[in-house]
Formats: sequence, structure tokens, C-alpha cells
Amino acid sequence: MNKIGVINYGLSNLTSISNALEFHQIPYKIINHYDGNFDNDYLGFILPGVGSFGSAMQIIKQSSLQEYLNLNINILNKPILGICLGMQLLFDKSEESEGEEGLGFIPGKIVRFSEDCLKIPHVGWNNVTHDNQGLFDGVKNKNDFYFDHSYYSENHSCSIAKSTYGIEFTSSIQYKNIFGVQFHPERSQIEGLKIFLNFAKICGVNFA
Amino acid sequence: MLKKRLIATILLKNKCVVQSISFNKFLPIGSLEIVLQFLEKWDIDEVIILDLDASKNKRTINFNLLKNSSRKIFVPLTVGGGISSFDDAKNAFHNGADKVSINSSFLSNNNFIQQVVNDFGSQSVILSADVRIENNAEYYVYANSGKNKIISLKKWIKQAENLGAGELLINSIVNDGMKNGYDTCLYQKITELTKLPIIALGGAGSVIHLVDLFQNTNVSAAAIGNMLYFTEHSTSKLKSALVKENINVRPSCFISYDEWNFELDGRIIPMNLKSLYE
Amino acid sequence: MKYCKKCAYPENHPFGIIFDSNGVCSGCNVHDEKDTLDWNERINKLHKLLDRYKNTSKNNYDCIIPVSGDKDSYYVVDIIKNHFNMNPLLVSYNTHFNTLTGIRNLQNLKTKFGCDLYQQNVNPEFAKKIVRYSLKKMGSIFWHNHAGSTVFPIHIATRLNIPLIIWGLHQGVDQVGMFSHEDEVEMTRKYRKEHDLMGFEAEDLVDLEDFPSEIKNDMKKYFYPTDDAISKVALRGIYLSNYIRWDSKTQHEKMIKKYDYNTLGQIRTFNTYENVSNLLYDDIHDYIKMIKHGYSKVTDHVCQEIRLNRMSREEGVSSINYYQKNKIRHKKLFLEWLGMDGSEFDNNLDKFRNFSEINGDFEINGRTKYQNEFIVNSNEKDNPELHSFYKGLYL
Repeated sequence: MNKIGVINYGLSNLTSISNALEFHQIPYKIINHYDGNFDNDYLGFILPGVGSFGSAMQIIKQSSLQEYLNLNINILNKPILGICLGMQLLFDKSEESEGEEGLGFIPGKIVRFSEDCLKIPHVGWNNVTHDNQGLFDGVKNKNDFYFDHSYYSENHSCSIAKSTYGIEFTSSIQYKNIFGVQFHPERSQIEGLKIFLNFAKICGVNFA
Repeated sequence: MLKKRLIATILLKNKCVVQSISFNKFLPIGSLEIVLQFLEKWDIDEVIILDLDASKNKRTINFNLLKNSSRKIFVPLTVGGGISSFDDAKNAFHNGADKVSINSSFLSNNNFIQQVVNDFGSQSVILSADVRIENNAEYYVYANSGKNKIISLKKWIKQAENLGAGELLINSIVNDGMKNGYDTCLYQKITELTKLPIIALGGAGSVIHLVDLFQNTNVSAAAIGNMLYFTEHSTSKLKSALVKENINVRPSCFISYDEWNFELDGRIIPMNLKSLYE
Repeated sequence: MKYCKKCAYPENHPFGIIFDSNGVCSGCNVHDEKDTLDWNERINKLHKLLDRYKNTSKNNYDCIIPVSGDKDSYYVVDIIKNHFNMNPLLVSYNTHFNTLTGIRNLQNLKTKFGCDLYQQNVNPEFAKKIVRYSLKKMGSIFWHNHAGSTVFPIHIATRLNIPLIIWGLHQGVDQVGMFSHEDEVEMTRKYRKEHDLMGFEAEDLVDLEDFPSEIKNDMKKYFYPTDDAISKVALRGIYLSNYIRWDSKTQHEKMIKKYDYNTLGQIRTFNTYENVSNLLYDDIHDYIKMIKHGYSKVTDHVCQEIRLNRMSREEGVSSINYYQKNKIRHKKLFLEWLGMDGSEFDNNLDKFRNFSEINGDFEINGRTKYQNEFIVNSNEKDNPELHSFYKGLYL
């Protein structure tokens, strides 16, 4: 039972997530959306993702992943880490796909960066201000992480890290056992890899 | 604050990394895996791998090679060369790529690009163009290694925006391989034409070219090629030199040359150091 | 197997090699620069660079020159000390199995040029174990020699705060045109790992499951200094061949005349100048190169002579055919030292055996000994008493 479940809903670069987990020897298994019977044998979950809010939610709903996650996250209280689009899916809804509902684990809405004076997407290395705890334990403050997105979560009461692109936005969030990072920790070198290690510790992974 | 990026462009010819010295002339460098390993250590921000023969031979980059070479690489990877279908893009993403780079040949067959953007997001697609100025007036996009004029740059950019591309990689044909600097006029023009992030490619020979590019244009990133292989800690040294010139780049995490100064050609200027015996 | 139309390199050269649309290799194409570059301008560039490194307070060496009992050691020291008036520290890694000529050449070097010389000698018992491992793992008996000779100068540089290492010829540029001379490529850990150490640094080997744990600590002397140690002195390693029109034969002959550099007769090549200090180089090492890559050192020597227009391609191929068939002589001596029998040695090499001992599907069939003027001026003879000289003493 000592492993993290990485959810594959068909749209993400699982290879880099796998490489990142293997770097710190974090035990994991890929949960494929087409598997059918998902077992409940995981200490925590990673929800990666690139693509659009709408198409991702459709696959998740069709594959009964939503019920599975509701059970494990809301009832069994296992931690989940959403990465990039994965973090956005944790919210109620997104401007990207009006009418499509998200997983609703975190109250709030995802909105689009304003085109007025910013280049879109927000792509590249940007610094992240955090308080060095939990997910960011041991991570240098104001360290740069790699971002690549056009939508974001406005400043939220559950923000645990912030970045600035025109405006200040939530680069990482924590709501009870639900975590999200807007940046790509698997593409942010050593400090990014620490995020995975910290999440594994939060999940209670045994590193013997 | 969002930083300017230093991107490595790695050219592949038959699984061998090469440097390009002029039209159709290449020199062998070595294996992809070892190049990537050292760029990761040397503070590179992002990597673009271009398979030079893929389009010509109607194939894609070798995906096994990509997967095996990128196991210990934790910076963003873009793959280009021969990506001409949705499945090509999907395979690239499933084998370690974060983005695909698709060249101007997309204009003849761009349906699949819309599908890639829809399923994988616009940030996963970089559209690239080789450009040259005509009559000192307007820039045009060329195909076939600069031989066939296709369309005006302005029109190309509009099409790229409509398709939902995430970034544009613009290569100046005339500057490519000359080591005389980037065509800063070109890039300044482009950044006025579009809100998409621009990656400049073609002409970098030394750190002063990068400084010139970042000081005089609003590009998001500078792509460099051959220079990567000439010196120890090449990109870390570039980072330190850029930081010294107040260019807003991600500073070196691993290797710092902050205390050192650089010649115009980017090589280090030594300082007198105390010997062991003093 | 495709060969360059101009020289004699095969398409499977381990560094990677590119043939252009005329079938001419990247090595020949870069070599052409020797006739088009302004070498006066390039020497001036070198002068400016070295001026930056001259230690005017004279409280330290200006630079390190890695040397051995052969190759371009004499030439580099002569240029740097006598022509540019720098104050070099000579640094040498003892690859052992030295010929008497090699031992004598190295001592003569420090004497004639009046330089300090640091030499690293590793424990012979450890050497046996790493040779056994590298033979099994990489089909190489010289891995530790390549590792030591490329890292010992770096260690000395970072410890003594000497910011410049001066090498002679860049092999990658010389053989396959890996860089243009104008790129002024410098030494990198990347090149060392890939092309000197066949993709395996000491740091990689000690982590492998099958690596003998009793020699893990001994391997640390082959570890590269940290990136911090290197950036602290902003260490650079330059190659004189980027600034001086390189002609190995002519340079050696100057050194023979001026400084009494000694040369030694060879079995598997006509070039009696370059590799005279290690008994196994023109022997087992060359045999292994042949069965792994399908060509041996004589091909490297032929390509140099063809490119410098001292040999035609026909003569070159014919010489290759002649020399590469010659049998090696020191296998028994080596295996006795290593403590390995012939069949175990052959079995270890089988994994890497891609070609037969005599190779080349060149269209030219003749075999002739190259009759040009490579001098032999050493008195060293190959005789049985010499072998007992080596037994018991690991020189």
C-alpha cells in the first residue's frame, strides 16, 4: 500500500512525472482512466495535466474517475497534488470551458490572463514566494519555477505560494488535503523535484 | 517576475548531435544523452531538439532515443522535425516532450495542429518559421531550407495565432550560423505584431549578441546552438554574464561565475589568484 | 563500410563523423581550414590570451601543461616556455608499462626545459583491479589511463589555483573535424566523459551494481573536481592546435633536432614519433581498437599524412593493409601482470568484438610498408631480458 497513484486521463506527459518520482525513488503506479476498476490502495494521488479544462473533465467524468476521486479525497481524506491543468481541475469551474464543472474540491474559479499588456501564455521561469513549509519545505524562497499556462487562480484564501505576472496570482494552493501547483515541478530542476519529495512525505510514503 | 529564457537548440542528424556551420555543412558533436546531461547541469532554461533529416525522410525523431536520453532531464523539452500528424505529436508527448515544434510546412497541412491544440493545449505547440527580408522592406517566410518563398511574415503570424499556437520560434536565415548577432529589427517588428511569446533563433556567437537581443527587443527567449559546446559550463557562464548586464534571466542554480568578468567573445578574463605556497 | 573519399576514415568512427555530398568527411573539411586561415592572426590571438594569464607577480605558475614521454609534450612546452615566456608547471599521469624511451623522454623533457614536474603514480594492485573491470565493462585496458591523464591536471589546477591548462592537439578536431579551429573549443568535462572515457566517468562506475566495492575509494582520484572548485579558479583548458597550424611530424622533427627527443620503432604503424612511451599502445591497445572499431592507429596516422599532402590515398590504404596485419608481442607479459589467462581475456573481449583482426574492404588491395622518413633514434631494443625488467617492477 506504500505508493502514490498518478492519474492518467490521456492528456499528460506522464514520462516526466515518472522520471521525477523515480529521481527520489518515490514508489508510484499509473492509474489509467480506461482501467475500469480502480483500487483504493494508494497513499495519495497526483493529477497532472495539460490540455483544456473541458476535454479533461469530460474524460474524467466518462471514466468514473470523478466518483473514485470523491471517495478517496473527500471521504478517505487522501492527499492529492494537482499540477498545472491538474490544479485547475480541482476548482469549481474555469473561464476556459464555461458550462463545464470541475472536480469542485476547492471553491473558486479559474480565469484567463488579460491580453491587454501581457503575452499569453505565461511561459518561462518565474519566482514563487512561499513560507517554506509543507509542500515547500526546504525549497529556496523566491526560487524560480517553470510555468506554461494561460489561465490561473486569482488570489485565494488557501494560497500557499504566489507569483506575479501582471497581477499577483496563486502559484500554489492547499485546502485541507488538497494541494495544487500551477507550475511544473517536474520541469523545475532540483527545487521542483523537492516538491514531489515533500508531497510523498505528506502522504506518509515509507522510504525504507 | 517572468524571466527571459536561454534555450538550447540541439540539432540531430541520424541520432548524432551536430553543429551546423553553413548551409548543409555539419560537424559531429556526440550523443544526445550526454549533451542533455551537461546542459541540465549548466543551468539551461529549456531545450529544443530538432531532427534535421526527419521531414526530408518522412519520419519523426526516434522516440526511443528521446525517451532514453531524457530520463534525468528536468527542464522543458521541445521536439521538432517531421511532426506532421496528431499521432506524431501524441507520441512525442508520451515519450518525454512537453512541446512540439512544427515548421512552416504546417501551412500545407494544418488540420492536425488544431487537434493537437484542442487536446494538449496551445502551450504544447510551438510554430516555427525561417524568415528573410525582401527588398529591405518586408519579411517573408521560406520553406525548404530557405529556397521556397511561402507567405509574408505578417500573414503567417495571423495564421499561427488563429491556430492557437503557444509560442513562435523565428529563425533568421541570413543570420543563421554567421555568429554576427541576431536580427534585432526583425524581432522588434514581430513583438509589435503579436502577443504571442517569441523565441529568437539564428546568429548567436557570443554573449554580447544575447545582451543586444534582450536590451533591444521584447522577445521572450533566445535560442542558441553551436556555442553550447565550446567551453566548460558554457550556459552557466552566459547566465552570469547576462546577469552582470542586468538582463532578467534565471540566475545560475548550480554554477556561479558572478565574480568574474568576460571578454567580448564571452571567454573568461582571469584574475590573479594566490598560490598554494603563499 | 563507407570510407572517406579523401582520407581513410570509416563511417563508424567512434567520435561520430559526417560525410558531405562528395563523400568527403568532416575531418578533411575542417582540415582544409589549415590552408585558408590566417595563422598569424591566430597566433596573435593566442598571444593576447596568454598575456592575460601571465602571472606578473610571479607568485605562482602561469599555467599547467599535461605531459607524457611522447606525443606533443615537447612541442607544447617549447612554445609556451621558450616562445611565450610563460612559467608552466608540467603535470604527468604515469600510464605505466613505460618503454625505456618514454621514461627517458620525460626526464629529458624536464631537464632540457628546466621545469617543475608533478607525476601521479597509482598503486599497481589497484591498477590491476580497475583494468580487469574496465576490460569486462568496456572492452578497454586503458580506461584508467585516460581517466587519470585527463583529470590529474585538473586536480592540480584547482588545488594550486592555476587557472589555465594548455593542451596540444584536440583529437576530435584533428580526426573528425568536431569543431572548426575558429570555434576555439576548450576542454570540457562533457568531452572527457563521452570521448575519452567512452561514456563512463568514475562517478558513474562506482554506482554500478557490479563494481567491486573494495576499490570504490581508490576510484575517487579519478573523480572530477566539483563545479564549484572549477568556477572558483575559472579554470580553462585551451588547445594550441586551434591557434597553430598543426603538423605533428614536422613538429616532432624540430624537437628531435633541438631537444634530442627520442623515437622508437613500431610494429603496427610507420609513425615512430607519436606513441612511443607505452609498451602496450602499439600492441594490445591497438589490437583491441581494431576488433572493436575495424581500424587501428595506423589509420589515424595515414589520415594525418594524406591530409598534409605527404601521402597519396593509395599509399595510405596500402600502408594500412600492410601494418595492421602485424602481430602483437606483449600479450603474455600483460596477462601475466594482470593475472588473467588468455581465454578469459578473449571471452571478455568477445562482447565488443565487431571486426576481425585484419580489416578493411578498401578497393585498394596492395600492402606496402611506408618508406618515408620517420626517424628512429632510440637504442631501445625489444628483447626477452627487457620483459624480465618489467616483471616485478611496474614502471
